[in-house]
Amino acid sequence: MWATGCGDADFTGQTDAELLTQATDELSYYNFDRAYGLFAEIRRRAEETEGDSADAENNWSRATFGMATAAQNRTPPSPRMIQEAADLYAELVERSPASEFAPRSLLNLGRLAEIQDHRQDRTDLEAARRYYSEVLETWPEAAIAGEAALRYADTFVQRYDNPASVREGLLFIASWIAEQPESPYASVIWEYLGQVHLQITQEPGLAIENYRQADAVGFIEPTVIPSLYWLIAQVSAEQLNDPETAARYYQRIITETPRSGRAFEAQLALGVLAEAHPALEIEIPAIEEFYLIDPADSSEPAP
Amino acid sequence: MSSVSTPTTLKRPDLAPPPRRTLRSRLRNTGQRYLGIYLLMVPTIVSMAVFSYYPKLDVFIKSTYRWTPGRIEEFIGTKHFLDAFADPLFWQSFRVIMIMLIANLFKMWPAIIAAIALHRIISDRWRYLFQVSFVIPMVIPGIVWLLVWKSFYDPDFGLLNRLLNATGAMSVLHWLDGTDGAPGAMPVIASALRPVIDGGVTPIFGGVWAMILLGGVLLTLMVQRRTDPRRWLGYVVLLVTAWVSPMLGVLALTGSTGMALAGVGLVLLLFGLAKGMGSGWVIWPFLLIFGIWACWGQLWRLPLLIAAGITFAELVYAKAPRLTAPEILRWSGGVLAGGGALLVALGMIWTEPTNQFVEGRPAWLGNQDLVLPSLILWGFPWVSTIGVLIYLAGLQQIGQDVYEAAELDGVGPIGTLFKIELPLIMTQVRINLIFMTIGTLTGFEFFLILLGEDGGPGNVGMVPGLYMYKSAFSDLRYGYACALGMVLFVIILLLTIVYQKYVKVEK
Amino acid sequence: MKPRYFLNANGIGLVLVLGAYVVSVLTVLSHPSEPKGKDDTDGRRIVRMMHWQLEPGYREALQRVIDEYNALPHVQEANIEIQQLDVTERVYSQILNVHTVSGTAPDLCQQQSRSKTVAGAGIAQYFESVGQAGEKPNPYNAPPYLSAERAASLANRSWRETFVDGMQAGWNGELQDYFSVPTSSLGGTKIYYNQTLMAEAKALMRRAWAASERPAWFEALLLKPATGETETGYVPDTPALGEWLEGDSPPETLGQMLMVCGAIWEIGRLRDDNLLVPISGSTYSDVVFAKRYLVPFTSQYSESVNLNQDRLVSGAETWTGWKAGAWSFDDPAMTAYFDCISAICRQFPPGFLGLDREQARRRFVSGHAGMLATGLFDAKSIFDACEGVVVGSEEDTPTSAASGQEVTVVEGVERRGYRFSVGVMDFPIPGPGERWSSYAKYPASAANANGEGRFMVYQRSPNKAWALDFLKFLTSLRINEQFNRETNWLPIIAGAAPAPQITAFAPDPYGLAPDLRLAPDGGNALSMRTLYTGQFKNYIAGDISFEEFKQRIRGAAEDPRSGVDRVHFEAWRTDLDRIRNAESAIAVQAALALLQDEPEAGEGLRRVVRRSVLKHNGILNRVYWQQQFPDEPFPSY
Repeated sequence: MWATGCGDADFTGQTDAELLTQATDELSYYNFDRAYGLFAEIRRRAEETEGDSADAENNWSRATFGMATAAQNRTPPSPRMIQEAADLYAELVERSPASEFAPRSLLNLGRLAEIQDHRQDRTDLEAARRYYSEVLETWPEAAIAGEAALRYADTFVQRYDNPASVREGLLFIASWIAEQPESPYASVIWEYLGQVHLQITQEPGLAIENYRQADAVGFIEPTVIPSLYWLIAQVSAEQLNDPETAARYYQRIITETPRSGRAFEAQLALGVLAEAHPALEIEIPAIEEFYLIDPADSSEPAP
Repeated sequence: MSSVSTPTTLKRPDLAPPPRRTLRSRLRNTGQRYLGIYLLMVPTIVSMAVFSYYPKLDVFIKSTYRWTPGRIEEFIGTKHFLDAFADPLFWQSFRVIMIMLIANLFKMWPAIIAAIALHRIISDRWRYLFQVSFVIPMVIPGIVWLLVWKSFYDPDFGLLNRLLNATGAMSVLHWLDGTDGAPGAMPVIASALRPVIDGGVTPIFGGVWAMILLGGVLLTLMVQRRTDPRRWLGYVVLLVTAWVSPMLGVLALTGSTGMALAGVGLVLLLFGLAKGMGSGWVIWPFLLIFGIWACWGQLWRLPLLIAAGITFAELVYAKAPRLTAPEILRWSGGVLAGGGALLVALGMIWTEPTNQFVEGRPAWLGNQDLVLPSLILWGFPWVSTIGVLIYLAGLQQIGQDVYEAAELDGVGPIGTLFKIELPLIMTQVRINLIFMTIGTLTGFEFFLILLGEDGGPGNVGMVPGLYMYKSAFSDLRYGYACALGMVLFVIILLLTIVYQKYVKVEK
Repeated sequence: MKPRYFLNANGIGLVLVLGAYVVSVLTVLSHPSEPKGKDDTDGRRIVRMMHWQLEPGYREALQRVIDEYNALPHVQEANIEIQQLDVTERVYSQILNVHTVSGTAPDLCQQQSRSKTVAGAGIAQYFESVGQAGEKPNPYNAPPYLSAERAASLANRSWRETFVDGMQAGWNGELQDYFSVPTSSLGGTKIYYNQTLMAEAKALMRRAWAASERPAWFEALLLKPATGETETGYVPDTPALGEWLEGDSPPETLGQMLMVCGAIWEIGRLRDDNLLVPISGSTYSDVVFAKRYLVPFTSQYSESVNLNQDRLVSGAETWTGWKAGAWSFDDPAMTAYFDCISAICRQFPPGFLGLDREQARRRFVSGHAGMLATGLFDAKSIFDACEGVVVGSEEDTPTSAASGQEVTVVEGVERRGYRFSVGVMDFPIPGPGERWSSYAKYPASAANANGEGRFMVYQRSPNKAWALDFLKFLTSLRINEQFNRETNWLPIIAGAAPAPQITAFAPDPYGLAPDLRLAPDGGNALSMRTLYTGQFKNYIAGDISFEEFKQRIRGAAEDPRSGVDRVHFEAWRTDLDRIRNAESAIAVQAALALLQDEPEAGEGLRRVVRRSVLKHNGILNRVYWQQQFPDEPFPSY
């Protein structure tokens, strides 16, 4: 029988390793209820193990982290489970501050503080900022620092009705990425800056500059690339008077994202640019067809 | 030789009192007798509790949540109910369903007539054959029935238009409807009645619907004739309710607290109404709801109209002879309600030509003016199998002696129908009424398949059931759908109480 | 003496009922939550594939692919056998729900959006991600499964890149991962036309054009300069019109299509056939035309109403834009759009709102309509019903041969049951100088048409690897081409050749982005969507005027509790829910990396973090509101 997380399930005969694999699998299936029960059992066993064996300690950390993750994400969220998740993360950080789970636990504590998980929950940006700051100070070189920096900056940007706060957030993240240009989150950070400059502070010049930085690193989300190319091209052409950049991105829409549905419009836009700026000798690439040109070319026989 | 026995005192078998049975032993005895029976019921009760009652209870709980199964469950109190009461589409859906409900009341008659006709067939064999022929359509899947009827309504290829054209009925419909250039009889009548409505009815009553309300009040006071002094308390509560309930509605829209206060206020008023107006009180909430709707925009008229009705009724009872007074109320109420209904039917519905009959190809399901008539016509001649069988079961319980007595009294076949058969199958009529009401108020499949989830052109076919379905499965507002369901539940419950009270076999 | 309790009938009944009850309960409880081995009696491992495509030819085509796969040496060696399980569409969603939850679903299941178990993040609970598999090349796109020549461009491409839609049909935005594999494409919706009737209509127009005194019906079709508020007619009387009338080509512009419609009405009058209509419309086709023409007429607004600058304009954005004055029903382009749709719907049969797709199709194939707008999924049945079957072909069964249907020679081919030839054309847009031409210049593109026939691998299947392997086989170039040519669908693999008769359905990439237009009936517009749809139908049916339509919509939109403000508020709340869902995806991705000792900040995690952080905890909707309506507080309910 499966553990529901509330009842007592029978795990006798299963080793810790087996349980851990099973629990991790359930987590990967988004079965937070089942994962919660399994991690709880591993944690219980680890706590009952006499002596301070490294295995038990390792299992305890894994189980506590897994249990907290499951509790945080069980649906529908309840105040009790959210509190339990926060307690477990805090316990983990306190008991094993050097463990590989500690930075993510702090980050998750920050998210718990700033997200309204249920109706009674209140957003606490100050508390969230403290957790993110701790991650940034303790693990400044780790990959997770990029995420912490983004979250930290966003606690300022979320005060959108206070321009000074938004500015502070933007300054922080811009200086952070300048110091850590190789961060795995570099593309996300540049895109973030671009979006905030375009949509919140409404500074198209800075926005396009940042978007282009993100593009230089490589946009990480393929489904939005056509929209971003279009955005860069449009703003460059219409607001920044930069036809070269605009043309380049329109061309890329046609050649790199022919299935986006915007290739034809990009051709039209290129036509307009070419007419307005003949000196640039703008090329209008052709749109890739979908299927074989000659449909009569019947299916080849099996080799 | 006969011997006369000397009377002797009968020996009492045992004068010692029987041993007093303890509660425990009584329980044991009763338990032994009934335990088996109750235990036999356990699986059914458990199944009902789990599969029937629990989901309903859950619906009530979920109506207070913003809820998407398995993902969002956020308690929001009465917000969904506030939304429902302020939702124009929901109210519009009630207007549609009320029309359907009234139409369905008329559509019950053919089944009653058919059952009586079956019951009167003398030959058992023929009766059996007819009964079987009534049951056969039941095996046809509902969806087939629906599609067959839908094809009847096809403007070009459908049977209905062909039939109407072949019989000349289409010309009659065209004569009634006309065109924008040359309006037919119905729009002409409507425009002729307009001065009567605008110049006579509206200044006096506030509108045709208000006139019907006053008729309803008089008829109710006639049925509920009461002489005890407590009725004055009832009248006061009634007038207060009429005056306060619109304000409670406004209060309810201010938020959860307002809604709770309004709810408490309404319950207290209804309690007072029940105490003051006696056992037939349940009709009054419906009259009040109807009154609020009828006087919308001029709500001050509602208490005035009710007060006028009460005053008239009391005066009649005070001044007229005892046997004449109810008749005066019956006639005056009937004239007001019936006259109002006639004005609605002739002067407020078919006011403009639909232009649909001019070419002999009316689009029954594709025109906003014809959708409701089509839905009402649906299933003609409206002889439902289940209904007929239920009525038949009731008719078969009427003893032969009753018929013989009626025959001796010279009651003819029509008289038998209205004086014997119909009054004696009121229990069955009530059952069918309840089924019909529940079916009409909660049904949605019919409308969904025919008109789509938006209820067709102008949302004219949007009924509460369909709106519930759409809210849940299209807009993913499951909690809101549950709240709509709860509102429906309360209305059905109240209607069922009305039926229980007024539709019954007179002893 | 009374019989004792345990011996009486009640007792026996009780024992029987309770016994049955207990046995039932135990049976249910003892049912294993994991499926047992799916081995056949001879030890073969059966991989089941469940779908609901019961269209003629689909099962047979799939079976041929299955047979070929089952015969592969490595499949035989592993003793694997693929079997298909076809289920009717009406109950498919219930079967899928029940079996996925109970752990007994087939190894491969077709994805149906109605199913609750595959909604949102739920899909990850029951079905395997195919994201990683999509990164690697498909082995069946390389020799010996494909000729070296055709394999050259595919063998080294990732499996995902070989798809026409880049496997986007299988993408789950909430989880930022791929969960299903499309196997076909349905292309875009097209207009089927009756070639015989079209030729007759053009001949009639030619005669009218050449007549010294043109008939009134023809004059009414020619565009006249606006004398009052509205123009009349559709096409200017220019030499270009004459040229088109002289040729055999179908309508190339919207004006020409409406002229053909006018001619078909006239043919009906001449034949005294009042059943004949130009377009076989139904309550489905009004939506098809309305959505299709919304793009050319309203794409100009997309830049100003697309608040979050993404790839589609939502219902909520549309209505917020309306409130902000970015567009109005009184704009010339909007007036033109409604006028155009009304003109098109006037070519439908009377009462089309009461007709369904099936009725519309029946009218077209019976020759009572000139045109019909529908998709590729209807192609086979329409072609078969209208053009009959080729005598002696596989489809010319003994039954059809014995049916007594006439044999007609069409273009040198003998056909049984031939009624008329069917042509397929695109939705035309107004030509130069035609009515509405200044508002609608380009058609909608179909370039982003996603794949169909999407299959998912069941997570608890004991044969996941083989199930995935079969999907790779089915979506390899040669097999996908062969499969789709047999089903008469479009292949999903780039470079595959569709069957010649359906090439017209290939998505046309030339046109405007189809999702960047106003969407007053968009998904998240809630009650505004319902009200708009209801009144729109009233308007196109001719029951209310455009003025009445505008007035009713305005009234609904201004309702403080259910109007535009509410729509924007609900969009904000939905955003909050999405943020929390994204949080689950982040938590899982991060936890998996840590628990499985993999490097953190993998691409999957960074994608979901990006998605989360760009939503700024839901403030964007509030920012937009403040920017659009600086004096109004954000609505609250």
